Order: sequence, then C-alpha cells, then structure tokens
Amino acid sequence: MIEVKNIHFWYPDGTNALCDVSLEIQDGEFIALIGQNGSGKTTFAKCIAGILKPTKGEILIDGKNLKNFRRKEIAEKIGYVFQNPDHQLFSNTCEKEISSGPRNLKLPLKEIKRRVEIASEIAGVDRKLFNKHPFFLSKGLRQRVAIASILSMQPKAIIVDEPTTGQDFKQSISVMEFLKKLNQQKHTILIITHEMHIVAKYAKRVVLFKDGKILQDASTKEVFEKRDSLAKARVKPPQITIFSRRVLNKTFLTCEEFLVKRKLEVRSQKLENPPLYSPLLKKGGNRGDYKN
Amino acid sequence: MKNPIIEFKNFSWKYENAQDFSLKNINLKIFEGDIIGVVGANEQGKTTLLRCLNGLIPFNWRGTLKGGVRIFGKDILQGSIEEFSKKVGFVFSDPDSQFTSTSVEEEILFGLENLNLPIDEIKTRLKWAIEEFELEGFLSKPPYELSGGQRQRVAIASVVVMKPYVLVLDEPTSMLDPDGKSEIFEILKKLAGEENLTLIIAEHNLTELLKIAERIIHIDKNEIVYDGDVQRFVDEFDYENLQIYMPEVSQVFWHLKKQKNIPFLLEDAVGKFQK
Ligand SMILES: Nc1ncnc2c1ncn2[C@@H]1O[C@H](COP(=O)(O)OP(=O)(O)OP(=O)(O)O)[C@@H](O)[C@H]1O
Ligand SMILES: Nc1ncnc2c1ncn2[C@@H]1O[C@H](COP(=O)(O)OP(=O)(O)OP(=O)(O)O)[C@@H](O)[C@H]1O
Ligand SMILES: [Mg+2]
Ligand SMILES: [Mg+2]
Repeated sequence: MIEVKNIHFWYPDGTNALCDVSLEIQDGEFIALIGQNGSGKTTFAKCIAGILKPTKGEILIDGKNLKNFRRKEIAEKIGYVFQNPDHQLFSNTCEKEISSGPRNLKLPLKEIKRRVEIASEIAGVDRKLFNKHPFFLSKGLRQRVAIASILSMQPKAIIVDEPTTGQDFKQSISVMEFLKKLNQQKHTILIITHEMHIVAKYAKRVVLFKDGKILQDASTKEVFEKRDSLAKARVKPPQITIFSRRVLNKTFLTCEEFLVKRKLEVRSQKLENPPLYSPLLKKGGNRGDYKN
Repeated sequence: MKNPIIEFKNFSWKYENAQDFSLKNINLKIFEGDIIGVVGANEQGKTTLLRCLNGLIPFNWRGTLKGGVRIFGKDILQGSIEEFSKKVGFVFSDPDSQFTSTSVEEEILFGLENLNLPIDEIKTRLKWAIEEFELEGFLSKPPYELSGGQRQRVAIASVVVMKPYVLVLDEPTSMLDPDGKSEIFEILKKLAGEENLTLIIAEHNLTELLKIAERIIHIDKNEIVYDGDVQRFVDEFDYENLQIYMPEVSQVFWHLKKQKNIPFLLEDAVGKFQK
C-alpha cells in the first residue's frame, strides 16, 4: 500500500508543483493520473518513486516512511518509467540497460541473468536486440526496453508516464495489454496519460490533477460523467462519451460499450437486429458491467 | 492550373545504415494553402517524408536518394537547409531536440531575430505568441525545467511565430492535454486562413487532425497508399484492422453498417445519428 500524506513540492526556482496532496493506493489497483499540462502529475509520480523528495509531508510504503528506505529498496517497491524513455536509457546495449538495476543490487550473476530474461520476456524485448544500442530502436521498442529495465527490479508497483504517446493504435494496445497482464499478476499500475480512450478502456480509478492539487478521485465512469470538473482541469472525456450523452443521454466510455449496449437496447425493443461484427468486441476490453 | 510549391518525382530515400528504403517511389505535389494531414502506423515513413520538405534530408541525414524533390522551384540538391528553412518552418516531434536557448523568451526571440525584422514587428509577434500559446507564466524559465506539454507548446510557438510560408509539424500535440490539443489545431487553422499558410501535419490523433485537414496522405510500408480528400479516406479506411485510431464516432458508424459518408466530426455524427 502507498499512502501519500499532505505532500507539497517546490522546485528550486520556486515553482510550487504540488500543494497538499494526499492519496491512498491499495495493492493491485489500476489508476490513471490525468489533468492539464503542468498540473503536477510527473512531479507527483517522481515523489512516490523516490526520485524527488517532497518539500513537506510524507509518503508511506507498506507502512514505512519513504525517507527511511535506501535507494535500492525503493526500486524493489516502485518502478517509474520516464515520460521520455530517452531520459532513462543510458547503457550502450539493451542487455546492459535491462540488467543495470539488478547489477546495482550486486545480485549473483545467475540471478541477474534470470531476471533479465524474465523481464525481457514480459516486456516483449527479443533476445536478438540484447546487443543493440537502444538509440537505434524504434520509439515503441525503446519504451519496452525502459519498461524491462524497471521490471528486472521486480517492483510491486509500476508507474508509466505517458505509455502511449507517439505510439500508433496497435502499439498502444499492446503496451496497455501488457500492463493489464502485470496488473492481473497483482502489480499495482499507475499510468499518466492525455489519451482519454486509453483511460476509459483500462483504468478502474482516475485521479484528476489541477494546479498541483487533486481535483477529483473516483471511478473512471464517475470522473467522465462530471463534465464541469473535467472542463476546469482542461480535460475532455472520450469522444464516444460525449456522443452517447448527446444522442442517448447515457454515459458510455468506449466504442465497444456503445455498440453492445445499443444492440441490447435495439433487441429489447424487438426492432430489426443487424448482425454485429466487431474486431473490437472480440478482444474484450471494458465490458465489466455489460449485464445490467 | 496552379504550380506546386513542393513537388516529389519518383523519389526514394534509404538511410545510410538502414537495410531498406524508408520512402519508395514518392510522387507528390503540395500546393499553396494546402492543409495536409500525414497519417500512418509507426515506422512507416511519416517523419522521413517531412524531413525532405526543408532539406533535413539529404543534408542532415546521410543516405541514398533517387528521383527528385523541388522546393519552391529549386532542386533540393542545389539548395541548403538554411535557404529552405526561410520558407519552411519545422516543428520536431521531440521538443527537447529543438531547444537552443536558456529561457522560453529567448527561445521565441531566437528565430525572430534571425529574420531581420524591424524591432516593432518583433515585439508585436512576441506579444502575440505569449498570448496565443499562453506562455506568460514561464517566460523566464529554461525550457528543460518545464513539464512535457509545456515544452511542446514552446517548441510550436517558437516556429509558428516566424510565420513561414510552409509549416511542417511532426506530431505537434502528442504531449498536450485534451483542451491544449484542440487549441493548437484551432490556432493553426486560423493562421492558415489569415496568412495563407501551407500546413503539413503528421499526427496520430485523427479526432483533432480531421477537424482541420483538407487532404490526407496515408503512408504505409514506406509508400503513399492514399492521397486525397478526408471523406473518402474516412469511408475507405480499414476499420477491421484499426492501425490508426480513427475518431470514435467514425468507428461506431462503420460498425453500424454505415458505409458511405461516415461522419468524422462530433456535430455531424450527432446530426446523422438522430436522423
Ligand atoms: N525541473 C523543474 N524546475 C522547475 N519547475 C519545474 C521543473 N519540472 C517541472 N516544473 C514545473 O512544475 C509544474 C508541474 O510539472 P509536471 O512536470 O509535474 O507537470 P505534468 O502534470 O506532468 O505536466 P505534463 O502533462 O505537461 O507532462 C509545472 O508548472 C512545471 O513548469
Ligand atoms: N536515422 C535513421 N537511420 C536509419 N533508419 C531510420 C532513421 N530514421 C528512421 N529510420 C527508419 O525509416 C523508417 C521510417 O521511419 P519514420 O521515422 O519516418 O517513421 P514514422 O512514420 O515517422 O514513425 P513514427 O510514427 O514512429 O514516428 C523506419 O523503418 C525507421 O526505422
Ligand atoms: Mg508530465
Ligand atoms: Mg515519426
């Protein structure tokens, strides 16, 4: 469990990036942090990952104050993947990059090798890439290497800052499905993103930031229903959510949900029922509450 | 017929250390006032195409070039980046790779000062950029002490403020918040109307892009597979495969078996659905 208690953060130039932020995160949650540019999301994430120290307030991880952790111990609790993975990749081969954490821990060679293999496997980094320089890989692969280098520390919680920025839809889904899989294996996942269709499809809880404070903290559906606080935070719900409000007066979060629910409605009205084929529907997605 | 301002003829490009050609057999004419969206999955050649529009290719990247490109009538090999850049402004997808100054204000002024404009004009434009891009709060900050989205805003502003004839933007709004994305596209559209700017924008966010684009170039496997108007692009798109995330209203209409004139703007979709 991560408990953030009344933290404040000032950068050295006097910028007040966080102002009295409190949040409790249970093990195994899947949370999206959203909000305006400059609202403090990255600063907040860096504070819980121990990269920045809050100027005031405290953070407890499994009951223990983050201040009393050694750097290496933090890395086993929480991993943070940078907004721009290029700020994080510094080794000249992918293998060195992925093994750097475990090497710092001075783990036995055999264990290091094992961890690199598991992490690469989960993150989808092919062994063929091990000797390549991360710089020459595509954005999508560089990000996978960055994630693998975090996973090799086997942290309980993983924070990924803008995992889908610059990725096409297939790549985005593939990164997100892989985070979903980690979540099912009981890892806590936090993502920071401006892509609301990704939030709608994957996050169960949404924390909305504005001006260094938390404006709202609720289930994804509740947050996307409150147009006024979203507007204040310069966020728009997914287009399909606006559309379904306008035409059906309902809040649907994804295209899948819209299509399935509408189909049920049409059926219950005993109207003509066109056969519905959708590759989106086959893949599953956010269909937890279809039954009602 | 009008003359194109940029023209590709049987153009191919292979980066020095690459196995294959990153662009193959490109034939393309860009006309003054065009608003072009360049779309496609990752690694298909969007950025490579944009780099040819101001001479970054072949002057900053080495490789093999076949065929030709003319920029304002001049063969690309006969010119230089400096020369082309006077007419063609370029916003990089990674803002960090664009910054040269230690404060946001200097960053905006840097390009303007190189244009040899009268001092009053420089002041007017600086003021305009600060207002339009909402930079007031962090003028004296170094760009690298800004949040990701704030950096991207500065990067766009510092090029747009020069008001070049042609503006090339590579994924300009990838890190902006949802309202910020809309605002930038609105600013671009307004400028295009007022100053007869030509816009070429590579973008993964089609919901915003299609609000302003008048022509779509779809690049797939290093070739142009579609070049034409927006409606036909939306109608003919392969929704089963969804490599590109189309506007959600288009996806829904396609699934509801609407095959022609699929809407791609929210208002249109609302109107059509109610009918
Ligand atoms: N190194 C720094 N020095 C000074 N101020 C900074 C620094 N990094 C960020 N800031 C400021 O702190 C505030 C919060 O920035 P942060 O990066 O946390 O925002 P964010 O919510 O992640 O935004 P974005 O969506 O644009 O990534 C902003 O006003 C930003 O300008
Ligand atoms: N500097 C380079 N050296 C060698 N190959 C390169 C270089 N830059 C790009 N490539 C290759 O050229 C092809 C096209 O890449 P490009 O960056 O143009 O794609 P893109 O469509 O912009 O993709 P993205 O959506 O990921 O930005 C890819 O196969 C890429 O690996
Ligand atoms: Mg950020
Ligand atoms: Mg690109």
